[in-house]
Amino acid sequence: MSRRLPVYLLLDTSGSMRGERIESVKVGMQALVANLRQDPHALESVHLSVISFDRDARVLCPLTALEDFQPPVLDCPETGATHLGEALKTVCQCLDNELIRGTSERKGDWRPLLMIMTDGKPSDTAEFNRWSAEIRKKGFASIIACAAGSSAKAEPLKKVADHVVELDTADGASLTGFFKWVSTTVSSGAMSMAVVPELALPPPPPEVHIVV
Amino acid sequence: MSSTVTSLRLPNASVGKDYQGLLGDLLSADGSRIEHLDVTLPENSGLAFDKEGGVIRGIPALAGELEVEVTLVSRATRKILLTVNPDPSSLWKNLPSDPEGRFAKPDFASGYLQTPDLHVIAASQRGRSHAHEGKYRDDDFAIHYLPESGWHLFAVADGAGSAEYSRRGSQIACQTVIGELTARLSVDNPLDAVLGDGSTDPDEALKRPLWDFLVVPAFEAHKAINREATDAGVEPKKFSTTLLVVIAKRFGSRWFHAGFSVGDGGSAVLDAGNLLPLSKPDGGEFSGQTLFVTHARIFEDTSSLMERVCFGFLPSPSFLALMTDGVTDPKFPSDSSLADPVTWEQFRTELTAATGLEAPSEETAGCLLRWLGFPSPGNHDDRTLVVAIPKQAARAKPESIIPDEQALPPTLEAPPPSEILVPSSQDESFPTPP
Repeated sequence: MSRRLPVYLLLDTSGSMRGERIESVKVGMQALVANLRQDPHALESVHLSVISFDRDARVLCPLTALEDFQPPVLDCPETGATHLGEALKTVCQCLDNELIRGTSERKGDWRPLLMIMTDGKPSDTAEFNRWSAEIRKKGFASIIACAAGSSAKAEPLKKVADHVVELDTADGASLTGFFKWVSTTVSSGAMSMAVVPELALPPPPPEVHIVV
Repeated sequence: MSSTVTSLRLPNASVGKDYQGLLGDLLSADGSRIEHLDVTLPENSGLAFDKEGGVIRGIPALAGELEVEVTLVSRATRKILLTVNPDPSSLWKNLPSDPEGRFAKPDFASGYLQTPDLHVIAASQRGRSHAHEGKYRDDDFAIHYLPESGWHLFAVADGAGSAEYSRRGSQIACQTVIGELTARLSVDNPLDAVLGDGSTDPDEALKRPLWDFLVVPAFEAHKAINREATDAGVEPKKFSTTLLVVIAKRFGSRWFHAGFSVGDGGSAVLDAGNLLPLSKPDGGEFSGQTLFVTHARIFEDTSSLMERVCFGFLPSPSFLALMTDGVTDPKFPSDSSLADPVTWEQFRTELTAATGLEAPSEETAGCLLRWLGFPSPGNHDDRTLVVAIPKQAARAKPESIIPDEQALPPTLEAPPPSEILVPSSQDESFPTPP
């Protein structure tokens, strides 16, 4: 039994994401998964979970082995609320239920990765502050947050993420480029997990500006 | 929205793995009537439609996103997606490392040594992770026999993956420690004096000599790495490596073994159902975290240094092995199994059957090297293994004993590159690894 590398994808499905943006996220997610399927390290270890959030947070896909993973349907409801705090709380709960910790009899998971994608700013500020602090104690190898588009705010994301990246536009090309970069990051994580405790980020594509 | 429901998916498949996908359930969940008429699958997919069972089955031959077209009773068609994962073993690349690079060394090595009492076989194979990227083998080993004093010397080392020149660190560690032991374990050395006098409780008497003969040589390896790093203008931590050392000698009707270790991996000697561990693995909170012989603080705390020394007498050992974590991780999956004689006996049985260890010869080293290529999902580190087996009744003729200088792997003493040894003819007979 080989050790799992859990990867959590937290995706904004608030009203502003409707239309082309959410379509681009779907395409991006498919690109991420297709890339990972070409990587022998990833095929053996990566497990993916997809959680969407708007007013509520929904676990669209619990932690699933890459070879069994099928991208879930992403729907955007009418309202515009972006409850990222609630979403982070949900990730914490999933992690507590799903993560396998090592014992002397059994090898545990590698330290998990979290990728957050949003095009706005958190509207549940108190919850966001609380759960940002909580999630940073959970032992993620890396938390990467993406502020996509001109309305997105990178500043609040610095509270929760080790690395914040900005996309100037939340269009198809940018989002696909971003998701491909995430797949390279996950791949290098899958390759180096046994070797290096910290995750070094690969160079990003031109559309992706690393803020932190 | 088109009528093609692209969100409909069959469960994923994998190349080379038996597949069965129930079509009926899928369509009925969608609300369609399940009296499908026909199913079209891509050519050469390796899959076929079993109409009676309403199942797509077979062994997929091609990776990718397959489109399965289903024609319903009403003559309408539906496209259903089927993801076929590639076979991970087909994705591994094997790129040779750069022979002109700094501190370059061969991607694999092996050795065989015959002494009056033992066959010693060693092999070191670059792992799939490094091969995939054309990186160097970071592991190393050294085996040696001192005919005048009768001591057998063994060492394995695993260079840290994150340390840029750890391939050189592991080399220096093995060669230095063997060199120091060779100089110290001459005829009439103090260790022999204590061991040979037949005292029934030599433990206290052995502490001082074992310090001199195991801890100090390891410390010399630490210093040798520091010196070379300084000369190269590089931080010593870029040469970080683990180190496991074992010395063994027969005293009349019993054997004495002693070992010293820094880092992970493992070594032990088996005698019937008894296991004498010769190393104490250093682990961290996360896998991959361990200690290295380059860490100065290990040698600063003298009281805990002796705890790294293991030793004992055994009447008739049958199997000695030293290995890096590339072998212990897949073969001794939990920490507790490294101290379990049953797991070691299973390991010995598997190894003997796979490599012909019951009748060792020069060819056995090549077999061991090939065996080190065994598949193990998630375990793609460099793999190094040194094994010693007692000889059977017939003694070897003196001329069949391999000269000492050929006992060392085809690696070098030190730069400059102009003095790099060309692999000897013995090495050219080693088969290409898989």
